[in-house]
Amino acid sequence: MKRKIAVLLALAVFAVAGPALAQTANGSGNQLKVETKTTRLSGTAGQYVTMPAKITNASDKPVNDIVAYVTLVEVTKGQKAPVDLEDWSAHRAVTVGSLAPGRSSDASWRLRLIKGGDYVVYANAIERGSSRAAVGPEVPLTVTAHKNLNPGGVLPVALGVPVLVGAALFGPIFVRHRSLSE
Amino acid sequence: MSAPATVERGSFARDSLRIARKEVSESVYAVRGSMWAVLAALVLSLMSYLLLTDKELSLLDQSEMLYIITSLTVGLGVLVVGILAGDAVAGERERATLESLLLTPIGRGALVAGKVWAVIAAWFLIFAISAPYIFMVSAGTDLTAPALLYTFVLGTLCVAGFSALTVGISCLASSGRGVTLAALAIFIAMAAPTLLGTVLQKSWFGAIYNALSPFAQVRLSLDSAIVDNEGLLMQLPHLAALAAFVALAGAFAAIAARRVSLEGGG
Repeated sequence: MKRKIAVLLALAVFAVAGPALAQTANGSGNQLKVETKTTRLSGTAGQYVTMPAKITNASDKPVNDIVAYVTLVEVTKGQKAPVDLEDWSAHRAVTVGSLAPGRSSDASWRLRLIKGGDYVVYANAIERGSSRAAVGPEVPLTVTAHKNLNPGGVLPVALGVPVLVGAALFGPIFVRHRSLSE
Repeated sequence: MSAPATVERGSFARDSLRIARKEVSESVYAVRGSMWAVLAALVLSLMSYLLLTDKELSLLDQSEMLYIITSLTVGLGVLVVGILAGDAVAGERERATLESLLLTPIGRGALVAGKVWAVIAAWFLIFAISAPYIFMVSAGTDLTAPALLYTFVLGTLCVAGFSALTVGISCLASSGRGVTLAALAIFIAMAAPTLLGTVLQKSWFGAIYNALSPFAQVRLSLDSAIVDNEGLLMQLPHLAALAAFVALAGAFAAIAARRVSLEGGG
């Protein structure tokens, strides 16, 4: 019984401390720190919003060849999926040649809002050759759908113009053929 | 010395316009010659209907929709002009009507220029057909006038260069179908940069391709003027590139006009 209690206690301790240990391990090797002043972004589809970020060398050694980029994840209920960054004009990477210890560099991305929904944007930075990226705080992004639906306006033109062009061009031909045959 | 030169220039313009008028009236009074105009209207109808009624496509910004419609208009213009220009001289040769045309008291330069004007007239009709669509898609914005103006100017330059190039090839070739195929191949090559992804378009390869393709210049300029709302100054490099294309294609057509023969093949 004592043995069982000891095993259960050990499991409980591991369950509580495990994630904390993992989080510490995750962050311990990073020489870069990514911050952003923006806490929330919002806009209407079709508009642009700017996602600013500050990349800091938190180590005591210079960091070279830094690549900063953004990640965008859709968190709309029932549609949780990564987003094609190229559509959102967010695929551009920002490069920083070198950062001295304690120095920072600003980067920003102009995101084109494509589809209505809820998203989360992260700014990331990674040193070339490193396998671990520094991830900034999550920035919620709300996009209001803007639909240019106009079936009432488009239908008369979409149907009318081909009919008019056809009548204007084929009408004289038809009349000419008819008069020739008579 | 200057008087005869003035007379010659005047007669060149008159003769080329006479040829152009004849070509346009022949084209208008033929079902085959008018069918492309209806097809162009149908393509524009389909695209604008999709843009304004499809739930996914309607999410696009209005300026983006306008850019698609204006690019499509110029693309249709270049395509139609390529097909018509391919038949211009090589078609006459195939139908054995070139001999009688060459026997008329019209210089070969004026003859070829008239063919080019006639083909460019088809573009003006396509532009006129596209105007209601541009009005409709740009409704509620202040983009109607720039969209119409830039589509007309950029499209006319691109189409003029392409028609001069294709009529020039038509002067040298013996088969109208061969020239039409060559024109389509050139059009696909010109439009290919649009198939490149954004990243590839920004690479050195994409930059060179875009710089060399007149159609890419039209699209870049329309994008800059309509979507990014940039002024005339930003369009000058694109306009200069298109003007250079027109000059080069015109020079080629002028050289090819001197070599027009009944047999073809240069």
